[in-house]
Amino acid sequence: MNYANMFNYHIMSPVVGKAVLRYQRWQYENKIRRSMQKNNDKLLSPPLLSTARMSEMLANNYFQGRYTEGVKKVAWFSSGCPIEILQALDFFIYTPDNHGAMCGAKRVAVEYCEEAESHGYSRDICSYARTDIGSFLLKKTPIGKIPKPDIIVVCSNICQTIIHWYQAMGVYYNAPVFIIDTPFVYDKAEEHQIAYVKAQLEELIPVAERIAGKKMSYRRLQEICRAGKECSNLWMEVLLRAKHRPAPITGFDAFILMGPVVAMRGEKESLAFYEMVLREIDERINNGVAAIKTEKYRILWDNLPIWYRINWLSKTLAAHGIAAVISNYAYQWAEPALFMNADNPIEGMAQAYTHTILNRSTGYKLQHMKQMVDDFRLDGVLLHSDRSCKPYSLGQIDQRMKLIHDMGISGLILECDHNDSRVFSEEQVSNRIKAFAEMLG
Amino acid sequence: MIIPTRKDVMQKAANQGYKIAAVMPIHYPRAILRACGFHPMEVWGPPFINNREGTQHFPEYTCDIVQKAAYFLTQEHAASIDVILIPHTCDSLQGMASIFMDFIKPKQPVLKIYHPRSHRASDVIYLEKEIKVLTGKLSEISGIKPTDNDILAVMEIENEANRIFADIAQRREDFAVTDRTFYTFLRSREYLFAEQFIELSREMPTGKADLKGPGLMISGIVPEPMDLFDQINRFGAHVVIDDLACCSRRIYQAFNGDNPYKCLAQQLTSMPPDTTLSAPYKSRFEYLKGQVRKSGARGVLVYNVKFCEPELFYVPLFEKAMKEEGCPLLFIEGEMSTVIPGQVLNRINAFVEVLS
Ligand code: SF4
Ligand code: SF4
Repeated sequence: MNYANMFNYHIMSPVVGKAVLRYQRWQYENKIRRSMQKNNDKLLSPPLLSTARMSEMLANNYFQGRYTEGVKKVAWFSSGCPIEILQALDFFIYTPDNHGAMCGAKRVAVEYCEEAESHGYSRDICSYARTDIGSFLLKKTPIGKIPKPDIIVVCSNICQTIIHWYQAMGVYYNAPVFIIDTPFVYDKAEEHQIAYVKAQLEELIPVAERIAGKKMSYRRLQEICRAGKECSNLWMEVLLRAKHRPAPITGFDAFILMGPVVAMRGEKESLAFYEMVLREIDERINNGVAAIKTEKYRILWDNLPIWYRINWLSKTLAAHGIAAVISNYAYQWAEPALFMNADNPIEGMAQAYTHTILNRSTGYKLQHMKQMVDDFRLDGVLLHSDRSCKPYSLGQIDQRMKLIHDMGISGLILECDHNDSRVFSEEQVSNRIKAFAEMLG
Repeated sequence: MIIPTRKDVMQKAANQGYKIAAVMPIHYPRAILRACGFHPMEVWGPPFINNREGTQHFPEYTCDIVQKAAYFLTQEHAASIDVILIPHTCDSLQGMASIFMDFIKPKQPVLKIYHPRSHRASDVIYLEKEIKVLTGKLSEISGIKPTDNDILAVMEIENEANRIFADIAQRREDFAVTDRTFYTFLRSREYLFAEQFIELSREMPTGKADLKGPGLMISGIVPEPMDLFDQINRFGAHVVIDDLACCSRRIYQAFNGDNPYKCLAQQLTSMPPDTTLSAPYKSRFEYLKGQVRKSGARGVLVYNVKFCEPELFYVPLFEKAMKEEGCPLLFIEGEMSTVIPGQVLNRINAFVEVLS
C-alpha cells in the first residue's frame, strides 16, 4: 500500500485538486462569457460554456491518475473497447487514444512521434501510436504522469493497428494484454461472430477479477450498462441537435466534447455533463445562435479530426460559409445506445461493440453518410483521407464518387493526418477548401 | 527440377474439373476449397504489375499487394477466376474485401474469412464456425457439398504437403540448390496442387548446399522480386532460415479427429507467431530467437512491403530482441517491383560486409 498516493488520491485530488481545477474552470468560463459579450468574432460563436466543465472533468481524471499506484488497479482501454466490466470492478480507466488526441490538440504530438521514429517506428504507422509510444520513450506527457497499467484491454473494433500498438505498450510496461476481437462486419454480424465476442467478454471477467482482487457484481454491471446507454443516448441527442438550421454546434465541437463519452461513459458525472451540454445547446437554439455565424453550406466531416488544426479549419471553412455540422467519427460513441441492454449486459455489449461504424463495411459507411446527408440537410461531404489511419480511410474514393453521383452533392478528399502535422500543408488545404466552396456554390 | 507454371496449373485444374479460386494472403483452409471443387491460386501482388491502377480505389498509402492485386483481379485475364477469397489479414485487406464487395463488384463472388486474434480458447470454437460458413458459401457457388469424410480425405493429402513443406523449410542446408531455387520451390505451394508439390519435393536435389559467407534469416511478407536471393548470394551471404509470411509462417500442423472443421480451426490457430495475426510480441520474439539459434543465422534481413503496418509495428522490438541475441538486423522497405533499387542493394551489401 502506498500511503502517500492514498493520501493524494483520496484527499489531495478530491479536495485540493478539485478546488484548483474548479477555479481554473471558473476562469475559463469567464473568458468564454467575456467573448460572448463582445461577440466580435465574425465567423465563429464562442465555445460552449460546457467546454470549461469538460476540461475540468478530464483534468481531474488525469490528476487522479497520477496517484493510482498502490491505491487502485489501473486498466488501459482502447477507445472503442467494452469499458463496462472493468468499471464494474472499480478499475481506474485510462484511454491512450484520448491521450494521443490530446497530444495532437496540444501540438506536442510531433515531438513524441519523432522520438518513436528515432527508435525505429515507421512514419507510416498510426500517428496516435507513434505519439503514445514516443511519449513513453521520452517520459513526457502533457497530463503530468501516465498511470501504469495493471491490465491493458484492447478491442479490434476500430482497427487491427491498435492491437499492435497496445501490445507494444504491454511490452514497455510489462503489463498483460487482453484482446477482445470483434470480427469485421461486412454485411451483418453473424450469429457465431456475436457468440465469439460474448465468449471473450466472459473470459475477461475472471481475468479482471483476479487482477482487481475482487468479484464483479452482476448488478453493478447492469447499472453501468444502463448508465452507459443513457450517456450514449445523451451524446446522440447532442449530435442530432445539429439538424437545426443554423446548427448550434458543429462536428468540430463534437470532437472537443466527446472525451467523457469515450473514456468515462457510464459515470454519473458524464451523464450530468451531457445534460448540461444539451441545456446550453437548446438555449442557443432558442436564441437563434449559430455555431458558425456565416453558415450557408452544411457539410459532413468524414473520418478523424485533424487535431492540431481544428480551430484553423473551422475558421477557414467558415470564411467560405461552410459549417461542418456533423462528424460520423464522433457519432461512433452514440451507437452503443442502440444495442446496450442492461437486462442482458454481455449480449448487449457484444452487439454494441461489434457494430461500431469502424468495424463495418465501406458500403455501410456510405449508407450511413447518405442518411446523414438527408437527416442533416447537407450540401457536401469533406472526407479526411488520413494517411496513418488506413481502416477509416480505405473506401473514401468510392464513397465520394457515390455521394456525388447518387446524392448530387459535392465531395472533397483532403489528405492529411490526424496527429502528424508534418504532412499538413496549409496552403494546399486552403486551396482545396476554396475549390470545394466553389463547387458548393 | 521443373516447376510447373501458374498457367500449366490452371490448365490442369480446368482439365480436372476444378474451378479457380484467387486467394489473397495469408492463411486460409486450403482443404475446404479443394473439397468444394476449387483450386486455390494465391495472389501476392503480383510484382510485375507496374502501373498503379489500383489507386483508382485505394489511396496511395495502401501497400502494393493490395494495389496491384486490385488491378490484376479486375482485368480481362481474370475472367478464368471463379471466386475471390480475401482472408482478413490486416486493415488493408479488410478494406480491399469491403471495397470489392461494395463498390468494385467484380463478376466473381468475393468471399472473406475472418481470422480470430484473441489467442484464447474461444478462437478455435469461433474459427470452426467461420470455416463452416465459408464452406457453405463455396458449396453454393460450385454446387458441391462435401461430406466430413470428403474433407478429411482432402486434408490427408494437404497435410502431407504441409508436412513436407515444413520439413524442407527447416532444413535449408540439406538441399544442393541456390537460395532462389529453394524458395521458388517453397513458394510453388502458393499455386500447385498438393500432389504436384509432393511429387516435386522428391526432385529437390539433396546433399550439402554450396552456401558461402554468413547465413541470414530473411523476414517479411514476401521476397519479391525473387532476384533478391541471387543478390544476397552475389554479395557473399546466404539464407539459412526464413520468417516469411508466404513461407515459414505457414508451417501448419496436422490435427486428427472426426470433425474436419475443428481440425482445420486448430491448424489455423497454431502456426508460428505471425504479425498479421497479432501474435503476442514476446512469444514471437522467443520463437524467432529460437530459429536464429537453431539455424546459426548471423544476421536478420527484414524485407518489408511499403505501408505494411503489421510488419512495421514489430520491427523496433524485433531489432532489440535480436540485438540481445547478438544478431544484427537490417530493415529494408520498398515497393513491390521486378527490380531492386540500387540503394537497397548497397545497403544489403554493406550489411553482409559487416557480418563477414
Ligand atoms: S489506425 Fe486509425 S482507428 Fe486505428 S488507432 Fe490509429 S487512428 Fe485509431
Ligand atoms: S503487405 Fe502487409 S499490409 Fe499489405 S496485404 Fe500484406 S499484410 Fe496487409
